[in-house]
Amino acid sequence: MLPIGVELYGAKPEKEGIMPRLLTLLSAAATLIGCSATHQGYLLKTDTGQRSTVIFHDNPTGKHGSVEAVLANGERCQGQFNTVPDQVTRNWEDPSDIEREDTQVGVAVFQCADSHVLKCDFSRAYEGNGSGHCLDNLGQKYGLNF
Amino acid sequence: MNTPKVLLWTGLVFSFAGCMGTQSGHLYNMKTGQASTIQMESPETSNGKVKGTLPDGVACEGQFSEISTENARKTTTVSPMLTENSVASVAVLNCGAGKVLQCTLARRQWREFSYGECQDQQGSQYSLVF
Repeated sequence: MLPIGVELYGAKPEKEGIMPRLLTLLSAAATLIGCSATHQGYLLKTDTGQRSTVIFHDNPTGKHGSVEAVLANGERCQGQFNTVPDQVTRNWEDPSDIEREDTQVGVAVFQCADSHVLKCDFSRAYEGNGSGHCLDNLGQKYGLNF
Repeated sequence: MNTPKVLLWTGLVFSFAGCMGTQSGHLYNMKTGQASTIQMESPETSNGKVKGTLPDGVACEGQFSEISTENARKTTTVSPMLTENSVASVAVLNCGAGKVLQCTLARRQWREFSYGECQDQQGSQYSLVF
């Protein structure tokens, strides 16, 4: 999208109308949608080694989102996650300004069937992949990778 | 009215509205698995009011205040993951019949809350996700 928009701007700068503006808006929207990534991974039950699937759906800001999982017994879980910055890259001219969150730590809580909840503490990279550990209200421990 | 003045007023109105906003979070009892909702007033400021209900339906009210992450680790019995680039706050909520809920919360500087951990006097633990 972007190269076409740039080419149109370059070709007819004197007739800048609705089309180039529309293309710019569409490019911006596509970029924003592109940032809302999904990361698939797994939960590994510590005592039995049973593997379950887990998906993190990032919102466009890359700071929080929703989670879903299907446990090894078929139980479906849904919930939310949120993060805070861990290691960051700061603006060298204004150190109070965080330019990029290189790594984040976060918490995800899954609500499953029959008041079964699972809480995960995790750490993840800028690209969104990470790992952590989880504990549910039945006392079961899980490893998390995504 | 000229454009700079319009922009200034718009900025002021939005800043004020932002400060007066509320943020909702999910409170999970990590023993029973039950969930409820909690609201933080003026969540981007250093202190404010908190209200909500416990998963068993009891209403709670209290306040939160920002503290250093170092003090949050030292002074609270339950602490969520805190980093040197996060900001910590503590909240104390009165939940009727002598029940008190103490929470430690994490967020970005000048941003809304991310998550937290709470405990009542009986030792029941709660997780908060915003």
